[in-house]
Amino acid sequence: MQKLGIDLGLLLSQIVNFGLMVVLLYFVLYKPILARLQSRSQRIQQGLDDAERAKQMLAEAETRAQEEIERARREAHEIVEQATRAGEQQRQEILAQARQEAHVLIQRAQQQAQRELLEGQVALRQDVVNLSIAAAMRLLQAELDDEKHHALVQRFIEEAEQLRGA
Amino acid sequence: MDDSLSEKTVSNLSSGAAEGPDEATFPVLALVRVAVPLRPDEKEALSRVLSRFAGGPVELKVEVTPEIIGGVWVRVGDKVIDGTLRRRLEALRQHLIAQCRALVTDRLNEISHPTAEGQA
Repeated sequence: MQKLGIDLGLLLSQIVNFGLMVVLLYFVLYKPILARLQSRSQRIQQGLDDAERAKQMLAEAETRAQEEIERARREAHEIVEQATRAGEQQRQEILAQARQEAHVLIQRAQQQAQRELLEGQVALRQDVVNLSIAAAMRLLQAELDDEKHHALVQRFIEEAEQLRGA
Repeated sequence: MDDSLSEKTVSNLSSGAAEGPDEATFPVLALVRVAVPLRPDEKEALSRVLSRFAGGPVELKVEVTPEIIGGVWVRVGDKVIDGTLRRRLEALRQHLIAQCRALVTDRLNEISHPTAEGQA
């Protein structure tokens, strides 16, 4: 060994020193760094897992939200349809009622007009009758002479005799 | 329409007169209205006829009333015999007016209560 220029003692001490240095570095540097790396890796993995869960939750939430929106949309549509149907039905009812009322009013007006027309006609006929009778009276008063008057008296006497005889 | 001598009144007079025995003894006043003065023969005939109705002698009181137009109007006691043209024309007037009203009443009933045929 000496021929090669190697000092065995020094070599041994160097080996021991190197071993001590390795042991020292293992405990002082390698283990903490490794622990830190593992911890960081775990945190990263945890973060990734959390992100994945969050992503799933977000997807679920979006799905639920979409379903809720769809349901709300259907309900709103149904409500609008119901309101539209109810409004249409109410409109039809109002129209039917208005038509019925208008029909009744027209009928009443027609009846009233016919009544007034008939009353006017009967008043006119009564006037005609009254005027005719008055004219007949005046005509008879002017036209009846003594002979006809006495004929009427004679007829009265004959009728009275016949009634008495019956 | 009552266009002849008022028979009902004559019947009433006849039946009413039969119930009064005193009327056979004392003349009953008969108020007679005519359009022209009566001749004596008409007065006699009228007295004769009315005495039959009254059941005894009657005393005529004749009034000339042109408003009756023609014919004879007689009142004996509370009975009246109306054989005047005015009454007959008035009866005709009432009859015609009643017919007008009856026609309108029927039409008004048809208007107020239209039949199913009329509604169709």
